[in-house]
Amino acid sequence: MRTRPGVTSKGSATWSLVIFSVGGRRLAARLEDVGGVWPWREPTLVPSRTPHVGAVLRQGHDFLPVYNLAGALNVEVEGKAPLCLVLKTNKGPMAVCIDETVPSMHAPDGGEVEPAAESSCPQIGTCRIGGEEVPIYSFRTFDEAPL
Amino acid sequence: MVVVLCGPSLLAVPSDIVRGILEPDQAGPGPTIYAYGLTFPTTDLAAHLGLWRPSAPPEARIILCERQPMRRAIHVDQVVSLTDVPQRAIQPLPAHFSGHERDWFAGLFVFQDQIVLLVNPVWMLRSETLVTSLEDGTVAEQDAAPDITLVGPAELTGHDIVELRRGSNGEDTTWRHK
Repeated sequence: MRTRPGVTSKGSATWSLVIFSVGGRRLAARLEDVGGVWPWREPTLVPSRTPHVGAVLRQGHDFLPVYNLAGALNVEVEGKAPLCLVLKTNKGPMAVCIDETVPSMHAPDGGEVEPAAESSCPQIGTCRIGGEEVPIYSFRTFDEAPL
Repeated sequence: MVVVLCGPSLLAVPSDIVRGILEPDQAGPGPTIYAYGLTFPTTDLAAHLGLWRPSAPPEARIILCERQPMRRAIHVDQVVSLTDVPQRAIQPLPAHFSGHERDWFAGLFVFQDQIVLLVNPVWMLRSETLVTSLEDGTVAEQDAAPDITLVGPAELTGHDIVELRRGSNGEDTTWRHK
């Protein structure tokens, strides 16, 4: 089976995943793809023609682009106090608004991870957690990744 | 920079291209404005950028812009401030933005704790597909710069036009219309 970088055909016991939710859907990202989590602040709108990228957030002296993952998944972020998940991409970090449920860590056993087909980017695989198939997303190759 | 409000967004126009600022009723109806002996085709910047707004507020102004040989009269919702912004404070749009917005904006910076988008003056003045205000308040797209027709006031006296002058102390200046 052809696999994406970081995913072996047998899964990987060395991965650490961050489990978060958007619109009540549980999703996962590799720990090394996550730059941080903090309370969500209202971003500044940027008129844009890039799909799902239409705002920026300030982070110190830098500006983080905001990727509307909820919009890409056709769901709405849940909770009155949503969180900001920073994901690392090949173009730099970007912010994603996620549900208020605090993300958790998960270290899957090798058999729990199933790599995705090449064409399913940005979903690089799934992880079976408690009987649920949780998609694992990576936006490292952002140009190829938009949902 | 001249910091303006357009719909929900704060935008900045480089002050070196700003010739003056008008109130809408000083401009008269029509797709062009005649001032300083020059004609300025009008552009609704908010509509051009796809920014929603219910209607022009009382603070709406028209900014006359010129960089030879191009001119535009830009409708904005409010002139917020005239301020100096050091070049080092301006950052490029994050690379994740990959659409037309890369032509629209030359960068962004922080002004009074808010993010301001710096409009690319070359795009704004040269843009070939313009959204031009019509007399009934609607907007229409044009494929090229229009043939200029003097339908605005034939003459505007000097005191009708707010000219921009930089303060001697170099500090940020909250805009006041005389």
